[in-house]
Amino acid sequence: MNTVVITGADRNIGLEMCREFLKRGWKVFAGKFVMELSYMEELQKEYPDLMEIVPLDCTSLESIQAVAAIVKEKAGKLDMVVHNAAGFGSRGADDICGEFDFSGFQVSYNINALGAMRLVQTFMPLMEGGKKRFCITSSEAGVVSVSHRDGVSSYGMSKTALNMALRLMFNQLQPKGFSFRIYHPGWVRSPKIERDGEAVQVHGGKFDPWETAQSAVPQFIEDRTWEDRMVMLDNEGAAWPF
Amino acid sequence: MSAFDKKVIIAGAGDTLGSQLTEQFLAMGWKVFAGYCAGDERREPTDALVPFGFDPMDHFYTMAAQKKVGEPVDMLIVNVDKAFDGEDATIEGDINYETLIAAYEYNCVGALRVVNTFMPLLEEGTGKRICIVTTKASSNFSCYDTAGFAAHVSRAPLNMACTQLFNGLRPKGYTFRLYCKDVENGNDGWAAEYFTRNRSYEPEDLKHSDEERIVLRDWMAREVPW
Repeated sequence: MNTVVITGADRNIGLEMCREFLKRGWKVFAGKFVMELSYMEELQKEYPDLMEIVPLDCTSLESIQAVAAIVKEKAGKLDMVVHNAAGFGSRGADDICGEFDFSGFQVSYNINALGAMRLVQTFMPLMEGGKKRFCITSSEAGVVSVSHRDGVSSYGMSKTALNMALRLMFNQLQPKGFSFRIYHPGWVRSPKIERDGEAVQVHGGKFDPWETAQSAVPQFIEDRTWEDRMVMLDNEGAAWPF
Repeated sequence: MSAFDKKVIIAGAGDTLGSQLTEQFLAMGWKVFAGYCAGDERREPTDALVPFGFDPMDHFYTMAAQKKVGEPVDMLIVNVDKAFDGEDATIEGDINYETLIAAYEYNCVGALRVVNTFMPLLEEGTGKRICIVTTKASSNFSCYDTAGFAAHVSRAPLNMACTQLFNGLRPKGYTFRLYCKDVENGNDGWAAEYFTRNRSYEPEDLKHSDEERIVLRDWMAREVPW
């Protein structure tokens, strides 16, 4: 049976990615970070034998190591890691001339970029004999050459850092049989939440989370004849520079 | 009325490149506000040189430096890039995540903090040029390394931050220089010329004018891809 660890599976894209893997019969270790949400437990009721919910904090090596121990005990090996967890940190003010709060810059960097490194470092030994694939959700927000934002965004900077970390890890691990997927999910709208008695769309967008998950998982699973190249593809299959 | 036509802040005047830039700008007749970090050897003050202390990690200390400079400037040079330990580890080795955070906080967020602190003085000046010193390790496209996470991962996001600054500030009249230093080989003599020379030989409203886009250049003036 194929096995996958998915971070940031509490809701939205991560939750829908879990569903796509489960539909295909994969054993899913779904990382839970937001304890007050229960969407994962509802999904687990549909797939009680395939879905394991594990507490997972990507900023903590110890937390990831604990998940690796669970995977080793319950599955023996791991085929794939999907890093979907994301921290947004502080965007700061639009105007660098004014008051600027730098205190949140470390948050998104630590989750998005260093989190990917901790996952790769920790799960590598469990992946020998498996599919040996790391699938990372990045973003156009991290692509310098097409950056259009005019306010300093710690989120975009963290994704640029992530892409660089992936480059170094790819250079080291691809010759050893590991493969990588870098995925830009497109402009995804958040589900509506209730605020003051009304359903509010916090983030607008072009796609629903389930749509981008349905695009992502086939990209993650299918092998390529060109695994020696690192590319970032979006939910419509278009390649992005980085 | 000031005796000096042009004034520059060099935040990071104490290392090899900073010292060289200080000499070059003084030789060109600029008034230099030279920022030194703890442990740097400071030059003595003159009419043309005002030394001050600053720390890219400490907003309040650097705010005090802003008050010490205390007058409009035409150019800000941010030269706060430094190397960190443990750079030979690959992802299969012993990665120190605390070092990776420290490198990001210094090389990237620290540089932004310096820009933020001195922006009011640039706003009052007429030159409105921001020059950032980095290294080729910031280029993802050019990276064939398997180690050096602190060097690469802390610097790449500064390129993104500079692009975002450019997007926001270019319409307000600011121009930018992003420079890859090459201190080890002593090749940075061109940096002052790069920082001071206007690069556009075309009408500046043309999209491909060098002042209408942000580029990363090395000591040979070659454009380094992101």
